[in-house]
Amino acid sequence: MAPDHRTDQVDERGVLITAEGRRRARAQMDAVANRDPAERERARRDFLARLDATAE
Amino acid sequence: MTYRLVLDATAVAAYAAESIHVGEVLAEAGDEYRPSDPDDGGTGPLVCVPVAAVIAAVLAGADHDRVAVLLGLPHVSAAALLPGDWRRIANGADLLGSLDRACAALDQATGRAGMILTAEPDVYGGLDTIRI
Repeated sequence: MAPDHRTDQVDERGVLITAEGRRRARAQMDAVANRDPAERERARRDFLARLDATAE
Repeated sequence: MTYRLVLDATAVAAYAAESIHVGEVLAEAGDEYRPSDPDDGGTGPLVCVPVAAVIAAVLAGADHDRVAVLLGLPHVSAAALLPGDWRRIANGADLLGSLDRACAALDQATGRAGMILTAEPDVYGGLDTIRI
């Protein structure tokens, strides 16, 4: 596992962004990215089908 | 081009209102960003903000200067409506209740963006979202 170089920082708005908060955000993003691919594709297809069905 | 994230109006408004969590997610995306380079294509912008989301957030009271800061970040790109998408976006706005949601949802469903950053993940059904 690569070392974690995150540190607390103040962002471009002047808001404090903590290393711990960033780790939580990364975990949240990874959980979504690692979602079951079949489930993801089904959701995408279903949504696009709804759009195209509405178009007819 | 594939973006890691697409923001809807709630995420733009939250950024402008100093949301810590939006800042955390954008900081993570910023770490992945590599500028374009002649010898290495770089990543390109990793966060997409549909112009419809910008306008909706501003109309809802988001601070103009803060929105400008968001759009000025190197890993963030504003995205115009694509003419070929007009029918799907119109239908998506009807289904989801707003133009900015339709743009974000279409970007995610077509694979142009990996996930939607939003305060309203439930409106997107089973699409990939990050709750703020």
